[in-house]
Amino acid sequence: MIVELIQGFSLTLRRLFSRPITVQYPEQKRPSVPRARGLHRLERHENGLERCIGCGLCAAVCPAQCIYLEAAENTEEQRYSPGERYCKIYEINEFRCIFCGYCEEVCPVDAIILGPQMEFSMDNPKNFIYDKERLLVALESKGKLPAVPEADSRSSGLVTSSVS
Amino acid sequence: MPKLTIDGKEITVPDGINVIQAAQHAGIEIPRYCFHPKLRVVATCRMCHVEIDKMPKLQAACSTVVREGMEVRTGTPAVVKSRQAILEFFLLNHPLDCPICDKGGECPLQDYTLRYGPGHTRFVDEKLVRVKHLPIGPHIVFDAERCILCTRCVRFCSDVVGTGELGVFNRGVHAEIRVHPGRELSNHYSGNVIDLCPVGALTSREYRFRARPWDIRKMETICGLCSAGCNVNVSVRNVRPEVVRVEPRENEQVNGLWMCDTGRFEFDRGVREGRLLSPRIKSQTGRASCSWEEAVLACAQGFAQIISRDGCQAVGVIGSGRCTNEEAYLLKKFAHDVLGTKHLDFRLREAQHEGRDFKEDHLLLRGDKTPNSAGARAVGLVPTDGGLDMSGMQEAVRKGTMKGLLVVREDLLAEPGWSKSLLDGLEFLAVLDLLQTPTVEAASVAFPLPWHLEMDGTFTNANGRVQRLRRVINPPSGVRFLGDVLQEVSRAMGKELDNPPFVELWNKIAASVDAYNGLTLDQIGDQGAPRPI
Repeated sequence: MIVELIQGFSLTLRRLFSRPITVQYPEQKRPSVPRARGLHRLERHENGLERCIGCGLCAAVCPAQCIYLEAAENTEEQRYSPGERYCKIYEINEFRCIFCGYCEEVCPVDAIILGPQMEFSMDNPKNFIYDKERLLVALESKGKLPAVPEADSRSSGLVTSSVS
Repeated sequence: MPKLTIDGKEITVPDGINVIQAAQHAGIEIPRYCFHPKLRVVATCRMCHVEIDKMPKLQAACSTVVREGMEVRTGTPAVVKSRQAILEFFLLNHPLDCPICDKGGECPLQDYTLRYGPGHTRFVDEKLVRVKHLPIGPHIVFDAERCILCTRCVRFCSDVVGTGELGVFNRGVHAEIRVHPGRELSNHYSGNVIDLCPVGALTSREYRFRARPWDIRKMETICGLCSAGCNVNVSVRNVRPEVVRVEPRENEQVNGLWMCDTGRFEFDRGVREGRLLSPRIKSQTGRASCSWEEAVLACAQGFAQIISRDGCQAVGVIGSGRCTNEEAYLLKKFAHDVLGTKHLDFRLREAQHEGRDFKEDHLLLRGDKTPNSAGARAVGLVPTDGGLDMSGMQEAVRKGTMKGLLVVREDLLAEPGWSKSLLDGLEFLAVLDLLQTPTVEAASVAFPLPWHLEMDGTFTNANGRVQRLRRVINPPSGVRFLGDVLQEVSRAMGKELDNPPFVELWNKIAASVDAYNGLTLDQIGDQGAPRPI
């Protein structure tokens, strides 16, 4: 038993004289790992249309039931996504979210992504309900959406190749 | 009564039925698309293939009538292989856009593919491109890519409704369901093709993208838009509750499996935006929302003043065929016991009179567009003992002998003979209604009432069938039930109106109304109970 004690404490002794490895967060930050699951974001197609088609599978699979959405139909005049259906209301309650990533996994159009952003503390609890406007990635070029190719009004929004 | 064996199970079934139905008796499911119990058998989909002893090839179970000693097998390797092949064919050109399809989640094509399908496809070519989201009528959207050509919709329109708007055009892989040139799918029963369609080819324009099947719950109730009293399932969204659609519920005695487009698509006509949500009172400055206490007090004072000066017979009560039996009963009690008037009627329209409510077509539509005229007559929302009927009350208002009027669930100004100036001649007009009607605008005091989907109660349909109306959704805050309003007004007038909970109230009505004669809610059940009217 003495031997084991000496073996154990020898490690303690050695570490006592080595450099500490504590990271002084938030002054110092460790780099994020590639598959980190942080704050959600809703992606766009290259032509600026929203990827989300409002199918509701993320809300159905969510074990914390923190996603609420309502879908509606694209019109000739106002097109948000390729195909017939788009997401009118999209809300995630980030307080309830357990960041399991199921929504990302189930999404048939890769619209929802859990990004690397981990730091979103706020003083008002209401701000933790992220709506579509805050989740959707900003358009690269501010202003009007590009002209919608014919393929978009025909496709269901599900086949990625027909869009790009 | 032939005796046959299905998968080793020996059963005796009624003569003349087919193998699918016989299997159903034995508790065995045979998958099918084109077969529907209410439609002509065509055996086009081939999904119901089964093996029958002494027959050389697989047989379509829907077009094979049961025979004595038949031996049917539904799970042999040949049947399994056939089902897989059929499903693979169906899915050859199917777009697989289930995530955006309204049928997704309650789709027999999804279900059978999961249960009986091959799970993969060998088709490597480009899928056929066909017309998508094409409106083919006021209520129906058609998607040709999803269609599997079962022709249920075609048979429904030609055989059940008799209008025959739909047909199959072109041949082979290019065959498509289309509306005949120059026509649109606009018959009164077009919504039923949505229920009939086993895929998402025919979907509703009203329900389009409003919910997914797993987000809603179906609640049993009855339609309140005409005197047929069709049994329906109402779908209510679980999160942020809202009624999203109405579908027919099977009742062979009333509507079979169908319902009309009015009940299905116009169930919330006016309710979304035009609702009265708080009591209103007329003052010198105009009409404004007010608290319940103020409204109740104003109502009680208004009637008490007239009664003390001109007597009980200077006030009249106009009920409605839209009232449930319970509401009608309480309103009658209020008129007789609290106001003390004999002038009480609800028959604003010709079809609400006994024996005047005729069928408008060969299926369901009826002339009386209120759900409970028969019930209101039975409960006694009619003048008694020399009281004035509707035309009599109208005349009395014109002459000025009737000074106060209580109107429930009716928009008088929409009916012939009633006018704004006539109502302005009244000293006091109290209106209780669901919507902000012109009559509500003209009222001295108005109270909001719940929608028929927000109440427990009973309706009696044109054939005298008493049916349960169930609360599928809660009324908005600030809306109270008729019984509660009348009870409070009674108290303010110094009288008492007994307003028990629904079950107790029904038992009371059943005991006191001759036509209902002790009918219990258990007897009514979910299919209703016939009563002589």
